[in-house]
Amino acid sequence: MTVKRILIVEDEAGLRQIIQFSLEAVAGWEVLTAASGKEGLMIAEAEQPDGILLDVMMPDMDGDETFKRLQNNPTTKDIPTIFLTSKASVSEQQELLDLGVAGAIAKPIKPRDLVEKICKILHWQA
Amino acid sequence: MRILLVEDDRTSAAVLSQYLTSQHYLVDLAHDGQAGWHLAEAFDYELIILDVMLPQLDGISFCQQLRAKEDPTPVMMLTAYDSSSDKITGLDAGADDYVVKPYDLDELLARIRALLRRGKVALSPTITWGDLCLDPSICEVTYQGQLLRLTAKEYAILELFLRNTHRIFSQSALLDRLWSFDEPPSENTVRAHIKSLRRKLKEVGATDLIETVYGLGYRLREISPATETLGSKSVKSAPIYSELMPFWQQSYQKYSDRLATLEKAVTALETNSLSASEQHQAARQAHTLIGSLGSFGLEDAARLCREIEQILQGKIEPSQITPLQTLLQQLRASLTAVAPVTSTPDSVDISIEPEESNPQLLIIDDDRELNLLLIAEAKTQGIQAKSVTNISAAREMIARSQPDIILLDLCFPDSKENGLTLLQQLAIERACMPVVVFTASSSFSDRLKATQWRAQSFLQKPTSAPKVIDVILQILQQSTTPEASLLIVDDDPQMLDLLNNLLSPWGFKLTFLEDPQQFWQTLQQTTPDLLILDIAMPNVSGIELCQVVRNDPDWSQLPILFLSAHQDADTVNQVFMAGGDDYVNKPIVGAELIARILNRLERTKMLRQLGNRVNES
Repeated sequence: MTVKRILIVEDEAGLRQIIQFSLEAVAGWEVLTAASGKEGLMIAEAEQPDGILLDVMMPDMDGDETFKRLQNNPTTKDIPTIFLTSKASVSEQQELLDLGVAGAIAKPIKPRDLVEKICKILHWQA
Repeated sequence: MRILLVEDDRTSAAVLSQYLTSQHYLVDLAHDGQAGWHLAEAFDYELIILDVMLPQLDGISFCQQLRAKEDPTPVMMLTAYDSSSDKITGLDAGADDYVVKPYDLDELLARIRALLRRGKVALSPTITWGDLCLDPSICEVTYQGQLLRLTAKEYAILELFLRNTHRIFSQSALLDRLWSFDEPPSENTVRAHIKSLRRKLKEVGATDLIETVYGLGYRLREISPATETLGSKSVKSAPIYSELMPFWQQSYQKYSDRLATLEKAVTALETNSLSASEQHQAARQAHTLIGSLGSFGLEDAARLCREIEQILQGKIEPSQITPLQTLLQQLRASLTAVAPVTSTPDSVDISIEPEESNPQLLIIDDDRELNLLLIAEAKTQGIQAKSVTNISAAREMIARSQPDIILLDLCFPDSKENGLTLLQQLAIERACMPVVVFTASSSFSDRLKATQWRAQSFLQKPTSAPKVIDVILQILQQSTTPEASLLIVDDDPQMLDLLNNLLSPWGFKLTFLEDPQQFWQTLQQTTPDLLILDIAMPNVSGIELCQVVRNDPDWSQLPILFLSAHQDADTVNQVFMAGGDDYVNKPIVGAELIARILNRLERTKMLRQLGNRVNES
C-alpha cells in the first residue's frame, strides 16, 4: 500500500496524539493534524490528504458544519471523510452517515484497530 | 439476541441456524428474499444475515430497501463470490460486514458478536454491570466471581438487559426479542423466567438487579451507591495501552482538570446553583472524556463518563444527585489509579544524564514519534537511548559516541541510502557492535541480507516499544557477558597474523602461541574459554596437546577446535578420538571459522547454565 496522508481534525489534543501515533506507528501513514474545523478546512485544501478523520463535536465549528464546507469546496469535496463520534446509538450514528460521509468510527477508538477500521471504510487495502 | 437468517441453500441454512441456536441466539429462518423481508418488517432483529444470491429478492436489494426505510439493523452478507467489487457493492448497499463462503463457523460467530456489539455501550467482549459479568464468547455469567447456572432463556434475558442498560422492556417486547414466533408463550412465561432469574441472582448475592417498572416492564437497576463505593474492588483500573504511556503522561493533568470542573458542577448542583449552560458545558466535558479516556484503553472510566453524560444531558432530578456523585467518585478513583508515577512534564523527558554504567542505544529511524516512545521505554529499563533520523547522522553519531547497540530501520524514503548499506558497513568495520533491524519491510530478501550482514535480530513493525526494548536488553545481556578468551596454538606466524586480523574485530581476548613447548604454562596463565590448535607442529602435535588437556580434570571440559590442511578421514578421526570438539579446514574461510567459534562458545555457555540450574535444583 502506498503511504497514505490522513488529516485528523480533533480539538482534544490527547486524543489527537493517540490517533496520530496509531496511524503512524501501525500503518506508517503520513498524518496531518488540525485542532479546529477552521484549521481543518485550510489544511485539507492546501494539502489534499487521501482521507479526513473529523471529530463531530468541536467548539466553534462542529463536524457537521466542517463537513458541509468541505463538500461545498470543489477542491475538497472528493476527499473521503470519516466522522469520529461518541454518539452511542446506532440511529444517532446513522444520522451522521446520512450526511454523506464515508463512515463513522465510534469513540473511544481502539488505537490498535483504528487503521483496519479506516481501511475497511475507505476500501483501502490494509 | 434474535437473528434473521435469509439463505436459500437449505443445508447450509440448517447448519448455520443450528450452530447459532447452540450459541443461545434465537434464529428465524427464511429461504427466499421476499419471505425474509416480511419477517424483517414484522420483527425487531438484532442482526440480519443475508445470502447475496436469493430468489425473489436478492440480498443487495434487500439491504438497500432496509436502509432506504432507515432501518439500522446490522446486516451481514454471505456470498460465494470473493471479488472485491462484490464486497463493495454489498457494503455500499449498507451491509455492515461481508463473509465469503465457505466460511469458518467460529470466525462467522466472532464477526456476529462484533456486529452485535457495534455502537453499544459495552465495547469490551465481556459485559459488566457492577460485579456482574457476562462473557458472550462462552455464554457464562458470574457475580463477584461466582458462576451462575442459567437456562438459555434466562441468559438471553440478562444479556438483553446488559446490552441495553437503560431501556425498559415490556413483557411483549421481551417475547418479541427472545421467543421465536412459531411458539410464542404467554406473558406469564416471561414473568416466570424473570422470577427464576431474580432468584438465581439473589442466591449469589445480587439482589434487586432487575427492577420492575410498574405498568411498563423491566429494566436493569442502576448500580446502587451502597455496593459501589469509592475504592471498592469494582472500580477497576484497566491498564493504559503501553505504547500510549508517554501521551498519557502529558495529558493526565488535563483530564484530571476536566474531571475537576465536572466535580465542581455537581457540587453546584447540590446547592441548586448550576445554570443550564453550565450543565450543558459539564455534559460536554463528560462527552469529551468518554472519547479520550476510552481511547487510552480506560474502558471502565469511559463507561462511567458515558453514564455521567447521560444524566447531565437531561433534567436532573434531586434523586439523581447521589448516583452522580458516586459515579464521579468512581471516575476519580479510576483516574487516580493510573496517574503517572512521575511528575507530568510538557514533553517526554529524553535528556538522561549520561552515566558510564548505562548501556547506550542508538536508534536510527526516520519515525520521530516512534523514536520518542522507544527512548522513553528504554529509559525505564536503564538504557540510555539517542535517536537519529537519517543514515549520515547515524554514521557521525556512531563514530562519536560508540553506542553499545544499534536499532536500525531499513527504509529511509527521504534518502538514497537505506539501512542495509549501513548494516553492511558495520558488519565489516565494527563486527562486535550488535545491530537489531527494526523495519516495516516484510521482504524475505531484506531479512536474508540482514542475517548475512550479522544483524542480531530482525524485528517486524509494528512491534510495541516494550517488546523492542526487551529484545535490546536480551542482546545486551548476551554481549556484556565477559568477552571470551581464546588461546591459539600454531607454529606458522603468518597463520597467527591472519587469525589475529580475522578474530580481533569480534572482541575476543586473543592469545597466540607459536611454540607448543610453552603450551601448559600459557594455558594456566590465560585460562581460555576456547582452544584452537593446529594439527601438524614440530616436536608435539595438536592431537597430543588435545589429549594432555583432556587428561587433566580441570581442563577436560575446555572446548577445542582444530585447524588443519589435512582433510583425510584418518586425521579427522584422530581429532575426534583425541577429544576435539570441532574441525576447520585450511585455507580458512573467515565466516565459517567465526561461526564455529561462536557456536562452540554458545554451546559451552548453555551447558554451563544447564549445569548451574541442575545444581541449584
